[in-house]
Amino acid sequence: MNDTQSIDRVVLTALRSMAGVDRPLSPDVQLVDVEIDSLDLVELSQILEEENEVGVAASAFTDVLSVGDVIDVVRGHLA
Amino acid sequence: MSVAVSDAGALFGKRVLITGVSTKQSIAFAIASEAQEAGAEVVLTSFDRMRPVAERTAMCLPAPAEVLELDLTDEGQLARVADELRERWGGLDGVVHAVAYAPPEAMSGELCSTPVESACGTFNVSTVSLVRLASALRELMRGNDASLVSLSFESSVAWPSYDWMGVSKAALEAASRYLARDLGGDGIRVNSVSAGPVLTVAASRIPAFAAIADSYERRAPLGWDRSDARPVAGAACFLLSGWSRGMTGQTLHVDGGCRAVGLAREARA
Repeated sequence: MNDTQSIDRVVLTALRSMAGVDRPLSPDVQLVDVEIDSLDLVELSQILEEENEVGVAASAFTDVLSVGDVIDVVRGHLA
Repeated sequence: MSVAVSDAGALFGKRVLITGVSTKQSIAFAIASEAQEAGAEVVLTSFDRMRPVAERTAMCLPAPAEVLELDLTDEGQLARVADELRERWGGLDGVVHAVAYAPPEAMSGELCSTPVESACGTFNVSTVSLVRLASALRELMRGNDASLVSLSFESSVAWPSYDWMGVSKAALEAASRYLARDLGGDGIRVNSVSAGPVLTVAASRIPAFAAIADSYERRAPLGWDRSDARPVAGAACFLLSGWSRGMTGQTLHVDGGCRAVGLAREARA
């Protein structure tokens, strides 16, 4: 598993936990539909830093709307 | 358990309560970090869903600090925190108020369109809370040459989209002066730090934040870095320390010198 896949898994696991769902979250799922808000994304940025040493400032998630947007932002910080 | 990490700093032996810590980018975190480096013993507060975030952040301090539950609009919680600090320390030497909140409709870019309840809510959390905090902790600070420091943002002008938060910051500075008047007899100093724009989680929700920060970074004679809260923390620690013992009711502007100039350097040439 490469870095991108590993990070995607961390992100999706965290988002599923925050959303309180046990089904997979596809990239087109809107965050508002699964009740993930900006505070959840602040926590996600901390989880990424703690578990994967990927520094994504919480402010980077300001404009995200969907699960795919979140993944794109995180991947953008891997480059 | 929080511990002092230095025995030689300007805040050595000071017992400091710091509210409003969120992430490592928060100004409150920078103040806590600098205060510990200067020898202070620090306890943080946060509340509700922000508390797990603050607890993670607290582990990143030079000495991991405890985070107490405190909603500054809740009189019962204020009383409980005062009791807990009395039991823990017996008194307080410093308090940092770093709490503000405005719902989106209070920063819409049109002051008149904000619902009254949103404007009042912003004022209550961002301004009245300073007075509530001072009232709750006054007895603990009395006679300790204690210092209460709040965080503001340039309030002498109107900014795009800052709206009721801007109004609340102006009022915060005024409240700080009135508290200075009222608490001076107890030996408690009350001052504000008016910080240049710092990219915190809260700031990222201000619609015009990037434009405001751009302006500061262009104009500041000393330069300004929106991602670095440490200059603000340094001023806050100065105000917490005995080095500022002759100051109260003041607002210190920590903005790279922006307030002193009208144009960016290249525009002046």
